[in-house]
Amino acid sequence: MSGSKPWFKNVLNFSQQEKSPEVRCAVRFPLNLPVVLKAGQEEFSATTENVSASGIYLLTDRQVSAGAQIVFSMRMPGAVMGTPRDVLIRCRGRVVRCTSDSSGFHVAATIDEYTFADR
Amino acid sequence: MKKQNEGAEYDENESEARPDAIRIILADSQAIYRVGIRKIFALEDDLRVVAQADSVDNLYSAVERFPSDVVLLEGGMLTGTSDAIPKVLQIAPEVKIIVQATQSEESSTVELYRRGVRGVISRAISPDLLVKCVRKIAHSETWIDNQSVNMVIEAYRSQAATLVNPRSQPKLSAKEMAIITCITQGKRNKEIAYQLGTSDQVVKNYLRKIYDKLGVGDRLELALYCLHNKIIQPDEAESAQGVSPR
Repeated sequence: MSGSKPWFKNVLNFSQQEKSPEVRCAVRFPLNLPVVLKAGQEEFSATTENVSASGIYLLTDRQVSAGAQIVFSMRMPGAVMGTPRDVLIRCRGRVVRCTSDSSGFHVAATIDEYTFADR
Repeated sequence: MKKQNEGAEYDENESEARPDAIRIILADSQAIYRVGIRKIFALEDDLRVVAQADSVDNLYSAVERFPSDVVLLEGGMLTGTSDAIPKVLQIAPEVKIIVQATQSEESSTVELYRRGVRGVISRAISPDLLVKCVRKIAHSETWIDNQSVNMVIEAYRSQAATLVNPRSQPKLSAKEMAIITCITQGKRNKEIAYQLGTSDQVVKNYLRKIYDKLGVGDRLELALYCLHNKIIQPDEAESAQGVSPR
């Protein structure tokens, strides 16, 4: 099952698709979810700091270049989702920016496509 | 030369406008408005009225029958219909809709944009601005005035507060909860319909209602909402799995 963005999401962006990629207008949920992220040939773990239907903010231990195309999977706990197993959502997106501080690298990325993978 | 067909009119004379002219369908229950707007557009060689409709049903027929770029729709025609905009967009996904609203209808501005309208203008708009609006929207821009911007942003703020505040969750019926549980399990509409003993279209209707109730826009946002607000109870998950089809 894959999803595309409803038009309403674009009202506040006042455009479709080629708007400034830094703007995320969907509501951000403050969730800490485990993520497996793949950028190029490299695959590594991360944790979300917040997630919206159009973007994600992650904490990880390595730098990712802005503009990089990434594929990542978010795992939602089955106990909360009412499923026998965790729900895995596979996403494809693009890194908007990557900053660092003492806790690690903070990566902001878009969610351009998603699929519910675990059923 | 115009032809009439049960409340819809279409113009066979296509030679006056440019070949790449913006094709417009006028949907207005009041003939005087249709005549007036048509005269305004006739002065512009990049605007061409391809059809007119005086009711929602005739609008559906016109949109289906005549390729168009913009639909200029009287807001009053939407009274009593909840899904006219989505239905027009379903028939012609590329068409861009402008709604002409009276003062009293402007409170539904946010909902109009949410449903897919590209511009909301006043019935009292000047001819020059109307032409400008049609051109902008035909070129994929959104037309929104300052007051509407404030309304949309305020609606967004309220929605954001509602979505992340567990205490303000709307009440969901048992069937809605069952469908939400199936969605968060990654099931497709057809699978859900089969499991719940209903049709694909009914599931889609429920989904639209759920999205509107919770203020979410798609399956992912629904899943995030459920996760954040912990709205799925274990017994609801079990009953969603255990319902047998007809």
